[in-house]
Amino acid sequence: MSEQDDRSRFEAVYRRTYEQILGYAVRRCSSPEDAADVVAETYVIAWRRIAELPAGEGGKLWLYGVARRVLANHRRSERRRLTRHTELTDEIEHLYAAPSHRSEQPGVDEAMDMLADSDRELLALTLWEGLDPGEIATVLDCSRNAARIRLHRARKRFAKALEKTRPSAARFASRLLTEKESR
Amino acid sequence: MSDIDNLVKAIDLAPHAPDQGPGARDLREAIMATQARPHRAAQRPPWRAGAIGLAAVAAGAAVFLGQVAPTAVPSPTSTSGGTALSGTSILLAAAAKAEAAPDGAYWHLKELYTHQRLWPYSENGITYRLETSELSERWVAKDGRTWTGFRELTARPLDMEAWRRDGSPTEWAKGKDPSPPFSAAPGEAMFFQNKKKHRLYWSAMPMTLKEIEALPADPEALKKRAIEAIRRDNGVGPDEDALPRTLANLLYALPASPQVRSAAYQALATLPAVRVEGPTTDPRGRPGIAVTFLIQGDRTPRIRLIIDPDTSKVLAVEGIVTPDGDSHVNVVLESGWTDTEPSPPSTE
Repeated sequence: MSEQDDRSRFEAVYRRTYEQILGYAVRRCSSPEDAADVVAETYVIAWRRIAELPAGEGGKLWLYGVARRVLANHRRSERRRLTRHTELTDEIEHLYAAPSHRSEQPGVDEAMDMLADSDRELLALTLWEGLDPGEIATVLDCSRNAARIRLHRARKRFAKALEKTRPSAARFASRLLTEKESR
Repeated sequence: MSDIDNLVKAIDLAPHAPDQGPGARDLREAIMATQARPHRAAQRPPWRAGAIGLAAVAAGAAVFLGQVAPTAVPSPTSTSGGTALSGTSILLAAAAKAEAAPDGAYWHLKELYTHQRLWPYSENGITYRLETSELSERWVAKDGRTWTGFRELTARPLDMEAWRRDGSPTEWAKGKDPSPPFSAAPGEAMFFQNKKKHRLYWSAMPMTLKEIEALPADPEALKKRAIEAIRRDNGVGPDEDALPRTLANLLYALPASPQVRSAAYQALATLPAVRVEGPTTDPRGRPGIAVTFLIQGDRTPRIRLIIDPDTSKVLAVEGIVTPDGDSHVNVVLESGWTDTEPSPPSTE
């Protein structure tokens, strides 16, 4: 592949996936600066490893996987800011300032906070990133079946947590389980 | 989807796909300005070989400049195409003009960014070029407050015949991208004041207005500072590759003092692969002189400045890819101090 192919390819992938990768970062970082860093570093890696980037929808999942590792490294160490782009941080800051739905759903945030990181991540990938178990398996590098089982357990634990934080929501838990049986 | 799923979905912090603003575009370009797959760079001829090739091509009015001492004195150079100022002298003449600049309450940068891209997403399988434009504005007050303005302008097809065959669409979806499509109608204006702690960035270096004003007015010292600024990003590419763009940024994109702008012009004149292509006009039809910079490992330049040597203003900065590839140009509509208050971008 020529350098020109690499360039067109990278640009197309960037345009197609930017919003999703940014959303991923925003949902998991507490500050716009951190989110900007995660987005920037994810795409720097994608550019350097453009030859490994799978075509089509697989590219998006591959990027989620990269973003996930970038985020893990980011949390482990207090690293130097990678992002030179103040405008990017401003745009993201705007997103953080947008009205959130938090207050409308009492107990739900708290229930999410009670979960282990891995459970929270599974629910997030399913419900916020909109990935199916097969796609989650690719991002987390596990089998589709394992993803499905882990997701089922995460849902169950969330329902339990919700019973504690929001007793009136107990009905959701039972409904969840019946629904699971029928799937 | 179960009720419990809906509850979790409702606490999504980023439920709507955000737009790609100027920051997203800058990031993309900064990344693409570096070499992908660095291991392949070694197989390419070193920049000197490319530069010699270019020098051979640069007959006529274009003058190739090798290593030039920063203290070179402006002098007319005779070429086969007639009498032309050498590249160094054009940059140094601009450096001299840069020393005089008007004052005002706000530093204002207004850029029109135009991108010509291949459009492969047509449902009818027809590929053609699309030109998209964005206005991007930035204000800096003397007390450090900053504002950002952004607006997507109209997109237009460049091949009318192919566009008609495609059914004359007025919107062009970004592939499977859920974000709003490019449109023949201008987008909404985005305008906001940034937070107090906001910094201006020179390459990877966050800086306050005072720090920008205090940059050295000596070309060699300025180049050293530029390299330091570039290194802050942890080495995405060779430092020298980013030097032309980083120095050029001081000419129009940041509120640098007239002395620093002058030093930036002088520093650009010392770069090993600077070449003056000669008189041209910018996309707005404004006359200027085109100057290109060759980056190591490249055969063709990736960055072209169009400057007005009479006023020292940068008129446009073009990113050149390849003849068949995408190209983009930043037309500098305003860059300097003004007393006009910041306001949302209009459609022009």
